Amino acid sequence: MALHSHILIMAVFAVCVGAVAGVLLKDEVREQVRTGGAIAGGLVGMAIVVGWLLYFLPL
Amino acid sequence: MASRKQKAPIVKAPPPPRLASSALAVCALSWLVPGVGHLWFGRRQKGLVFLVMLPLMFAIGIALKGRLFSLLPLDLGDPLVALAALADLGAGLVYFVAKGLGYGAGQVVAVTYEYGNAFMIVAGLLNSLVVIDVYDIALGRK
Repeated sequence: MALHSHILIMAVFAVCVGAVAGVLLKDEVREQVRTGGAIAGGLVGMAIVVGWLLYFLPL
Repeated sequence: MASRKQKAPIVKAPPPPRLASSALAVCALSWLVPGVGHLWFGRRQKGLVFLVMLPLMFAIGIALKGRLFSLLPLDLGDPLVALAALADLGAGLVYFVAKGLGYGAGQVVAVTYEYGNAFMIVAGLLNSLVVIDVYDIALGRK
């Protein structure tokens, strides 16, 4: 399967969740895109931030 | 004997049972096939997005070698499995089709195993939210 990259899988997951949540929460297309993009971006951004924070923790 | 007129107590009428039952029927249909409830009520764009995205997420989960959790046999010693099974069931018909076709056995040693689980569980949970939205639409709240 092509999805071997962890970050790619995470990005696909974030886009899927953002698309569904944006469409579910808002009625107008422009707002749906904005909300979905914010959710997807937030998921990816938070994952990267938390990932870096965990990097500094000793195992 | 003096007759006294008694006023009938004012009772707020409950919603017509037909409306409630038809709303539940559409919800059940929407649970089985994501997006059908929105299509039923003429919300075509929303319905089509749900119809495509939720089964797609579920399929990606299976392709990533995730596991389809089952409620049976019920193991109370492992409540997280039961919760994951409930979430998976939220996906509706695709869950039963995938089970019937033998998909979703899950490969614990696969790198993508947990990702697959996350895709399928979240697809089921999102479909549950979609069903709740359909119920609100059916009752005229949205």
